[in-house]
Amino acid sequence: MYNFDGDRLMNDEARRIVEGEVSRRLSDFENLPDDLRDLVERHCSALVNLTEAMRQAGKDPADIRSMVSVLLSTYEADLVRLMEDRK
Amino acid sequence: MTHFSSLKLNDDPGRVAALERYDILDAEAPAGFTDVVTLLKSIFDMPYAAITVIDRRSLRTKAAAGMECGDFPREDTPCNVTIQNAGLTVAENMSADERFRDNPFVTGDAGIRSYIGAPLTSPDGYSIGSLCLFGTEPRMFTEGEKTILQNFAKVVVSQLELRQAATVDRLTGAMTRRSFEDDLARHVDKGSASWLMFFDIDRFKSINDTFGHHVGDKALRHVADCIRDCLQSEGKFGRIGGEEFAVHIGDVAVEEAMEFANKLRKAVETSSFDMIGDRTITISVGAAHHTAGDTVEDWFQKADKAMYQAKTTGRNKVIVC
Repeated sequence: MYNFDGDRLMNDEARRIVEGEVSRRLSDFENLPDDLRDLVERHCSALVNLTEAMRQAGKDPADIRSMVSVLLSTYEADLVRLMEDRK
Repeated sequence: MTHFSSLKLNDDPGRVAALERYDILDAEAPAGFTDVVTLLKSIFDMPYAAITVIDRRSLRTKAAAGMECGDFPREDTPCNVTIQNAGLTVAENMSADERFRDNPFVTGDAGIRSYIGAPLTSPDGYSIGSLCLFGTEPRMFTEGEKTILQNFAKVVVSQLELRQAATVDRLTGAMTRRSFEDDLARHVDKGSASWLMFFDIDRFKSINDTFGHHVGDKALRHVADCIRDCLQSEGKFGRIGGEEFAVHIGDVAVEEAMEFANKLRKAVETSSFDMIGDRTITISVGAAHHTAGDTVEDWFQKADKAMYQAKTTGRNKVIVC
């Protein structure tokens, strides 16, 4: 379904956190045009790596989840605007 | 992912061109930028965090936490060092660091003592700016913090990539209408004179009807390529509608504008596009100078009217108004 592997070996937990937020926020992800889908996948991979870096640094899991949610929220807003422009 | 081997650290004109492709310098930053600096300031517990972009001469802050956004001479800023390095730039005590001890941000009122910056590196290897934190006390940075900052920088570039997708027409690679209009609006706000040239492909409907829409799409791409080759870095180029395009160039004398428009027209006319038999692709161009007080809409209408006149008086020609 998703391909947010990031660019290095990562903890499954980091991927689960990002995938959970993506499912909640970008429910229409599967129907995005290919070019946007590629961009979203790259963004999510970057978020997975960031999440993993935060976990490794010992940051609070609730703070990490909140950070991912915030970062995906504004990304989603930009994505929706872009989709509307293309209509 | 950007690999260090593909970094282009010694090509400043290429770097500035990469920055211009993002069209971020004068435009509003993605909303996510503010989130990034706010989060970073909190995670690092430092007084200041910023996302900056750097053009030929100056650094522009696109988002900031703990301070106001502003413009600074490029050479004075620690971020100018950051964009010239492959990895992070870390200064734990700037007054004892020979790279920064004479820097005005260290010696002046700002009194900056600690700094960490990650370059914002485009997928084609150009560092267009930096994501940085700084404070007024010396400070150590842990390996974990360094990794976090590097990963945040990749998130910022990814936000920029999405924004760029919104500004570029997928078929032709020209600016989208909205992006082109926004750019013109910024220009009009500044009050500086310049030229807007509208053009469309002559008898484009007949190309679609005779050869099919897939050939029509290739014709659009072909014309866009011709214009881009011709323009190089002289102006902005947008797709305004189906087969309508527009070019925005700086202020020149009317004769020069006419000459430039004819250069575009001839570039298309003399180009080779063999998918439509022995027919030739041509364009009709309308050029309008911006007059003080004109809104973007007024300006569009003037250029559109001139283009219509070029169409109705024979096509494959230039009309300037």
